Amino acid sequence: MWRSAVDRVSILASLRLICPASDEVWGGTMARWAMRTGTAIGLLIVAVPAFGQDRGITYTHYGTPGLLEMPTALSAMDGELAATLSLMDGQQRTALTFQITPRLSGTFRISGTKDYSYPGDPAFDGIFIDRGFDLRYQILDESARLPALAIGLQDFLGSGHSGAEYIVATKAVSDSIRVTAGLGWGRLGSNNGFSNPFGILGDSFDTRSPSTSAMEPEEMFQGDAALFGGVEWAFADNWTIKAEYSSDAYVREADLGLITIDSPLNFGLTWEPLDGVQVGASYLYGNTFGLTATILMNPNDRPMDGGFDSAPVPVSVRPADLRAMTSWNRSALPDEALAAGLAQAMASEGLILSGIEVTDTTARLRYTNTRYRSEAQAMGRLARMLTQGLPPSIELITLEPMKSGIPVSAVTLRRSDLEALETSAGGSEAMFDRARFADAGSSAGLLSVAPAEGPFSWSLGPYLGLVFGPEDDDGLALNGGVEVTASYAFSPNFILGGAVRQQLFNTSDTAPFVPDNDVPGVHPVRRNAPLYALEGTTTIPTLTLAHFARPGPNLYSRVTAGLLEPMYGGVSTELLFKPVDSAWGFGAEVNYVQQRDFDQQFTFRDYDVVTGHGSLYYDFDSGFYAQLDVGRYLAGDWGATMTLDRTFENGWRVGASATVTEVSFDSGMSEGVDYGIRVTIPVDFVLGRPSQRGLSTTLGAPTRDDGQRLDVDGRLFDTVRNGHLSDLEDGWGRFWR
Amino acid sequence: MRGRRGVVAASAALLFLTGCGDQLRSSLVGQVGTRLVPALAGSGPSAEEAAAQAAAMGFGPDAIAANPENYMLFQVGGLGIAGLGRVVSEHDNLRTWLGDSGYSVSFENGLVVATRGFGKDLMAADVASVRAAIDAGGGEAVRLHDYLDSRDQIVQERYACVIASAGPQPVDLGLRQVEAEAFAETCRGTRVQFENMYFIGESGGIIASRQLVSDVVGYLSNNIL
Repeated sequence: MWRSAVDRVSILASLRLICPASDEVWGGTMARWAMRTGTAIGLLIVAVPAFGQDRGITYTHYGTPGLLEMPTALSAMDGELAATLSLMDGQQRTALTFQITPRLSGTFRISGTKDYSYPGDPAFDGIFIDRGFDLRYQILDESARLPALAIGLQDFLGSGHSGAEYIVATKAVSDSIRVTAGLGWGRLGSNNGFSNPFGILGDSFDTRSPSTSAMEPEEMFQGDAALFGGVEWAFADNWTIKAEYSSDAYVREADLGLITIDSPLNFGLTWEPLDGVQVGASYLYGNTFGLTATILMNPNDRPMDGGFDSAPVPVSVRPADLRAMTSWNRSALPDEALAAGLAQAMASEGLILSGIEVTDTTARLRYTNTRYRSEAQAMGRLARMLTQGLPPSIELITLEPMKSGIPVSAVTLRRSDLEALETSAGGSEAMFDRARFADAGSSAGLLSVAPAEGPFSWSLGPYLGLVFGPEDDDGLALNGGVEVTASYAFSPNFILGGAVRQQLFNTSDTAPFVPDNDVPGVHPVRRNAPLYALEGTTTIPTLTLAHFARPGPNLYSRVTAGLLEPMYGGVSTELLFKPVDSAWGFGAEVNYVQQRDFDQQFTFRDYDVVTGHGSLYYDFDSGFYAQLDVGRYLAGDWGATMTLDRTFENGWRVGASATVTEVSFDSGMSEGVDYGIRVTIPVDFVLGRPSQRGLSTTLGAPTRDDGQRLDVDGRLFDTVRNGHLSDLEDGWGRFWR
Repeated sequence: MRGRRGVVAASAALLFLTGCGDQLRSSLVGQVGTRLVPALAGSGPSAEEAAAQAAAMGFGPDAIAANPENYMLFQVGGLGIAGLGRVVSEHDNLRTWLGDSGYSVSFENGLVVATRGFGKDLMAADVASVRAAIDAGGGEAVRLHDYLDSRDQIVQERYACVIASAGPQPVDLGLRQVEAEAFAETCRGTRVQFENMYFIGESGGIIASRQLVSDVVGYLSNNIL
């Protein structure tokens, strides 16, 4: 049932934390006392804020919040990510919807329709695959009198196979019943359509060309309009019945004989067996059964709360007389002995000490955090250890976290602040306010500490690869096997690394060969991906020598040479300018690479190119991160990529990128903007245990050759950002964790 | 042997204190018991290993017997935690105890001001006015609790509290029965209402209590040995 606003301030739950039945058997002092005094022993959650409420939103066959195929005007919870699989006879859809802001949501969807073809195209035998994006903006919140109001664009990038626009209103008429009415265009204006009301703005709104393989943005809100609507009834907890009047006549599908519409009325039932899981059954078009399954996740709702990280070493507070000291006996505790002791203690927290400089009143440590996602948490743990291990006259502690063997910042803390604020309410914020953030200092003066573990490391594990074919109808192929990775660190910032893979399975036993002259002027730089997967049974995906350095203040550099990625080898160079406390950074990358043979060993194909980009990075305070790359792509095409991520302080990232190059709209390519969706989920969010790993996935258009970048490891901005002010501030709540 | 019996008796005291039966008893065996009870029973090599492990962590019977004031019994019903904690830091009025399963609890004048390792921990707290009200025999106080939210931001909760004396009450500490002055603290915030309980010993210190950690974790119960 949906809860009304009144319920939100009422008592929702009462947790009895003491077992009532056990009092007689184990009747302890406290329980007896409590009973005598008539006090209820329990914890009452007296109110839950509105944003904590389930809005009772269910998902459509298109994977959007709504009825069955028609949308509603309500938004999901901010940040919610919904993955939906929808199955019907002859149709299947997979969709990912992200509530980008409280009002704006976006959907990426892959639809498969059996034997579909565009008007004017020849008949097609097979599953027609179409990819599309939706955007929806909620203009008005629901109020006592007014409904929620939203405007949406369905499948507005790409082909426009499902292209539609709509304005929709939704209003709850009781605690459990909600009604929706809307006006649709395009696909949603095809059943019982009438003249476009926007026609009063100009004749161009009156007609709309039929759906073709290239949707034109200027066609939006054109052509006939039609009404749609429906009712949702949450008749029991976790159960919702839905009925709708559809304004989609499935014109092209009906022409092809793929779908018959016997009735515009659709009916369905949605059940939430678990939090975050919805399954639905529906009866559509008067003749078809459909199923949906949706899995919901929200970065704003962590299942493991703060995580079950083990307790840190507590702060050791110096007595006043020791705190007043201005020096310590350096001969009794040589720097080397101090460093060795600290390195050993730090290892228990996954911190590797590389260098230390101590004076009578200051200490500076350079170290690598190998355990905690949040550098701030690693700093908090290290700082507490240092209050235990440093001589008492040392007051200023400077921590220099390293990434890829280079120091990325210097954070200076006062030991007396650490002593005062560990358990104080507001102590995290106060600690942040009193900390100083700067570029890492010079290596001069640092006593170098040899790592306890040797320079060689290796690991063995499984791998999985997903390959998109060069054409839509090639579908996807999955391959996998085992991978051995190994590295040898000549120094922390100079590393020889590589991997060997043995493929054990590949779901595809054929792969089309895309010849070099397939598209004049555009070499097949990526479209032979299936061939790499087919012929690459025993491969060396990477074998590189990488060197990272700090050539100047706020400057970072990388040189990587060797087999850079499965399809290219050569030399990659990069320079990044990024002040510690700035929201922005500039980077430049220049690579000379040659295409590798399909077997991914030591031979190359006859194609080489100079590729590279200038990049601008910007971290908005609002939790968005933007990146603009301008330059020359692998096929030698010039263009730009714009990336926009929503970044959550807890490590989640959900974003989209769009690439346009000089050949994107050429007749030979004719594919328009290349776009992709990427999602990164931090492992510690899921497991509740410290981890630096993230689960990343990228979805997007089929493999193509324009707008392709080199896939080299260790790009600098992602390497250094964790240790810079913006990310440290994001994670500072974990300083005392 | 006195020390070993003491551990068992003290563990039992925790059960009495919190008033829970079989569920707690099994969790006690699961937590402390797996480490200490086999050693007390004195059977088999695994018992020796368990005893050695407990001793290495500072929870050996001899260490407890030598300095019982350095140990405290803790129980968090919602997490199935019931076991011993050892003091690992002490200065001014702040004492931090490390639990035998890796959590820690910090007390300021006997009032919980921080926990770690419980999931939704109390990150920090301001409880000075609560202690002042107890010392005054009752009164009103304001608590501030810091929590870490899903996005790693600190969220501060404010509670208005009333502290009232419940007069002298018998307290079974396992090793001994004592009479203690009992206080109840009723607090109400924007979301959560709870009631803490304190038993003040002859020395003026809190010898047993039940205090809120967070809405998810629930209450922490503790008593001295």
